[in-house]
Amino acid sequence: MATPPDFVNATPLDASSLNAVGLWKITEVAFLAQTQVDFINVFTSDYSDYRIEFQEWTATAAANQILRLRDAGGLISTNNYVSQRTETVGTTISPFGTGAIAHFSPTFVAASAGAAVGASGYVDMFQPQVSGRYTRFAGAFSRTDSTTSLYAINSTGIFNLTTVCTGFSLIRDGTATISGTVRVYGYRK
Amino acid sequence: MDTENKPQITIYDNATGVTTVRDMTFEELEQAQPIKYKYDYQTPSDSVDTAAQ
Repeated sequence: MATPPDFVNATPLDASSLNAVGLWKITEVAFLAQTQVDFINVFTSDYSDYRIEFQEWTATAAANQILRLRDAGGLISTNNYVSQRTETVGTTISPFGTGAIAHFSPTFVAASAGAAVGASGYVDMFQPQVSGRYTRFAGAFSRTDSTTSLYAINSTGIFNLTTVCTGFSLIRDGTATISGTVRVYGYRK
Repeated sequence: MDTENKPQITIYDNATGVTTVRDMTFEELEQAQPIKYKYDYQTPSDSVDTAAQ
């Protein structure tokens, strides 16, 4: 098996092996009652694909959450984001989709009401900084609402421009604020 | 606008590794929510513009 790393007993790992090890944590940001959270310069040529992990994403008002890509000039607010997702609760499956609007909607979050309400999950962002390619994401969330119903969310989207994206922002919807912890990882090629 | 309700932004810049938290500027709000913010955060200076929407 040629796939690195080559772990050999009692032998130090070399850089070439470590550099090829799976996911690499780029950052972790915890935020409380924010209107917007920016992740700047997190998409680089070091990686082609990224995992964005959301831990206990909450909002003060129920809303489809907003994720918008960034380039060197800041937020990309053009209508080039398309999202599709399904929510399963019990035996009911509800579809959600947008046409080309100004942001991704990876998940819905119910109005926060204690520890029971929130959403945790991830999206994998594919090739956001690769020139000449569209940016896609796919992910999943586990979310609960105030009735403690559990929703299984499968989510996907495409940003249909070949813009070289260098980061992303989470933006509250309406007058709500958002809280949570986000970790960004890069996938080694 | 109540100080406690001022929109805040958290910014992480991977180039410096620094995370900052501060109040958002009006321009940042406009860029983030170009339609909604006008209704959510009216100030005397933009009330005329809002009324014209």
